[in-house]
Amino acid sequence: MACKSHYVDECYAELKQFIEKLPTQKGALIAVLHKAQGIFGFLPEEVQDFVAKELHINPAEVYGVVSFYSFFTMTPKGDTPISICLGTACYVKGAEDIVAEIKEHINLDVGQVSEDGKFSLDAVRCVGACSLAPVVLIKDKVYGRLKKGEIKSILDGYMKGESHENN
Amino acid sequence: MTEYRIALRNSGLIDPNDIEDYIKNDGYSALAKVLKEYSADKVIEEITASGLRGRGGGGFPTGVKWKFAKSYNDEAKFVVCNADEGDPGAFMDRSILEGDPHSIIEAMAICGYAIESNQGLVYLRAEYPLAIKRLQNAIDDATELGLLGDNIFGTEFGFNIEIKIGAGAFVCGEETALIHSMEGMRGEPTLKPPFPAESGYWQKPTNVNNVETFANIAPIILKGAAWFSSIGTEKSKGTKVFALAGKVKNVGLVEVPMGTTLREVIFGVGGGIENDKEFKAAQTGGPSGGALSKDFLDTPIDYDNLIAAGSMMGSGGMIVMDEDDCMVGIAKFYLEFSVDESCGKCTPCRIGTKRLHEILEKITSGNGEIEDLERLKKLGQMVKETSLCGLGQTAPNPILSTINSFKDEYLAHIVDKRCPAHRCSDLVKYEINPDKCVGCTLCARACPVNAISGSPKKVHSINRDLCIGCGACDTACNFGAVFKN
Amino acid sequence: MKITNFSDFDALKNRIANEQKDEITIRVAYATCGITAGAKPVVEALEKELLKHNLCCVSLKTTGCLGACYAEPTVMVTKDGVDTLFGYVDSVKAHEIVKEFVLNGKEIEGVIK
Repeated sequence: MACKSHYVDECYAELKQFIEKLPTQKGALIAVLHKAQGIFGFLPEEVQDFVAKELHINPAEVYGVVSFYSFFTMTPKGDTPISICLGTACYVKGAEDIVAEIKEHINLDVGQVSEDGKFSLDAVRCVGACSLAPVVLIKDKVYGRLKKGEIKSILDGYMKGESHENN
Repeated sequence: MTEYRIALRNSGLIDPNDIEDYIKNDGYSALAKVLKEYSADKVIEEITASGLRGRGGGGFPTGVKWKFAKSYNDEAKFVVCNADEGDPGAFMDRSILEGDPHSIIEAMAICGYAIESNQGLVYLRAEYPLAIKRLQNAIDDATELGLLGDNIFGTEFGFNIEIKIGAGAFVCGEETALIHSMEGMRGEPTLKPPFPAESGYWQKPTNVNNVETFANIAPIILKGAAWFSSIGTEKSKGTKVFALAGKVKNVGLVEVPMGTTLREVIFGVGGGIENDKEFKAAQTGGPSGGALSKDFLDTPIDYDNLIAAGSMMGSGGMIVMDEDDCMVGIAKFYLEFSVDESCGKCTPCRIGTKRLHEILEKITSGNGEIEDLERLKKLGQMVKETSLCGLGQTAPNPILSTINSFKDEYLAHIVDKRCPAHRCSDLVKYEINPDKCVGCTLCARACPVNAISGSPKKVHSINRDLCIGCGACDTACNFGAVFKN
Repeated sequence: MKITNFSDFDALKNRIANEQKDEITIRVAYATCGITAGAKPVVEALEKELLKHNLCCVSLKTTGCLGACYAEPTVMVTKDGVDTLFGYVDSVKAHEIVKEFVLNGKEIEGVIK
């Protein structure tokens, strides 16, 4: 869950508590960042500075790790995050066409958040559900074996505020 | 040809959350046997004699690796399981961890006994939440039952396992990068030697094996090295799990003896190509491997044959492609992956993969020159020879192997400005089949660039030079007269 | 219980081996891909149907991946030592598997292996 602005103090307190409870701070940076992203939803500069201070390391070292790994993000996601799998199995089954359809339909490219903050589109590398290729994840739901045109009606549903049954 | 399950022996059959179900199927009996009857050296001898080679990609003999790790004495030593399954399209490690987590725990403990280490670490991808949950649950159950912890079976030997979660970086499959990532740092590789066996996790002797490698250990101990080495080919013993995906009917996991042919895997267990299209290629080894054309369908699959064919075993991903796949596009897809995942530490990989990708981009957008083929080969070879780690050393393989087997497709893109599979959108043009066209004019009205000419009730035609390949005519036509060419 | 020596382990193995075996085992492939394809409602439907018929000698297990990813969700029924693998199972099919195949011993469609 992303940290809402009026809970910021509680969020930092939770993170601080997690760090204090670690058996050792040696080598714990990635685990701490996982926790921080879980609390805040993303890792803005202030959070990185906080982690650096608590772990007694240089902020540059924290930034170096955050920017290295694809799992960590410095920008917030949309309310309805869309992840499209661009693993090989999905690629040969036409994942690129789906990216194009999404782009055409809601004017969103990979790596972008829509202006109203409603949707964000990310590419992921293989979710391991290759038999269901091509696969799109919307929020926590997986839509597999997608055919041309299907993604549009799914997105329309989310725009109207309804979600679909997992198929 | 039949499947032969060693690594997947329990997967799908036992309840992964029930340690007794594992014990019922000979679970932890190999660990008991080792602790009761074997010296550490004897375990290593047995694994060496079995001929087991690393299943993560490299194919290094596992027993030899263990022997190196044992030879370095230190108060702390580590056993690491590499579960950073980064090859897109491979999912056997996830399956084993989700379906049979105790087999990995048992094997890591056996390895710990053999190399004289008391601490195991599993480096697992954050993308596999269920695998993390089931493995942690299994570790807790084993600890509670006394199969992990101090004085296992009342002996002097103790062993514990901790899970380290990754954060999404393909290069972390390389063992030195993996170790740095476990230390909480950027997962950049370092030059070998020193090998992890000498100086690994926190500069202590460390032995790293892949999930599938570990999954083979207990059966080897129980059934003997001779049994294991009787399966497979001369230099590649045992079985290999493949994750079949792509344009094959039966997508899934198959475990077959080494030496099985591609044809047997794809057309036997795999059930053939979807929609009965024609087989074009199979990519093994993911972004590090190469595309095997139909000329290699009857080559027995083992480590050495795949390398000779310009590919590699890799972790066992096998993506099947049919006539509708563009091989230049596939090479570009893999290079894009390597560019993204290159850690940036060494220049040949950081800049070389980028340049290779640019050349492919140029070719698929219709601006290729004939000299580009030579450039790709020369630069590809250079990146292979001069990169620091396995990522860069193998990244050009998809290009080099497709140039080798599918040169005609490259030439079609470069010389004729055509994509034979109609996949490269910049090169796709539309044409009208005169036998089907009724002259309804719908296509001409739909065309945004006025590339279609013809009068009502007469056959229309598309000016190839003006066509931008948008497909509006295809959508408009009610008679199926428009086709890509 | 904690195993502290080799004879503890042998005793545990003996106990497990001598446990009464159910005549019929139903296994649902319950790994990431199976769950994604809809294995959860299948398990629930199987549980419900088994309960309804009060079947005592049938055990239901959730396992890892069986490898037949293309046909997920998959259900394997082991009866008299013979395995029958059903593919593309949904909750309707799950009811049918229990009622017709397990209970009445009828052959039904959907067998993939």
